[in-house]
Amino acid sequence: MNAASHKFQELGVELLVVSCDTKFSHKRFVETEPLLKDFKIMMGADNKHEMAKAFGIYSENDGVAIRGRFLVNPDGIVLAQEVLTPPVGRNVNEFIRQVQAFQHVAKTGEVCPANWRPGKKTLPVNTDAEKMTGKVGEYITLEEILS
Amino acid sequence: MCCGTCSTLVTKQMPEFKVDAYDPVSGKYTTVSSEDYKGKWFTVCFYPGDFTFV
Repeated sequence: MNAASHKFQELGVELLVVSCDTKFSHKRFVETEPLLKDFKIMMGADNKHEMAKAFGIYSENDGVAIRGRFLVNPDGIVLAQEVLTPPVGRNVNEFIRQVQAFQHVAKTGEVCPANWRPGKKTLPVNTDAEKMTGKVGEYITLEEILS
Repeated sequence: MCCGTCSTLVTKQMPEFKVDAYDPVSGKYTTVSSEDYKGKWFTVCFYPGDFTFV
């Protein structure tokens, strides 16, 4: 996430990482872990567990926040969430793709089909919904979707 | 808000929050809240703990 923070800046997305540790722990973690050299993302300290509970990703068993990621638009609406159990890390490139797709939808009113990435075809449901019904294949082929 | 039958936050208003924070850019302790992100694209990532391995 940090390695891609310039990308999020470019996309105008504010980042916050949160665990149930204290702010003191966050400071020492950033200072000692070589992988966090140049870490730039604001670190929330949810040591009262209230935020993790509010977002529905607090593990009572382990007393930790499980790996939940939430994308929120400027109206404060949660557009996407992904929750993984702790042993597997996330894919930041897939997340950037999702941000680009949601921002494209917000800007144009078009929709982004499966596997969409910037530059690929979108579907003009905002103008062609009647013509498109049952005939999406006339707008985009399976090869185009899979490419 | 929530109908109570589904657990996803997707399509709903983000919960309000206010927590202590560490800003690694300034090296200072601070606080952050949902108010700080009003009107902005925003991503929050939770992780299990400092000094864990993934």
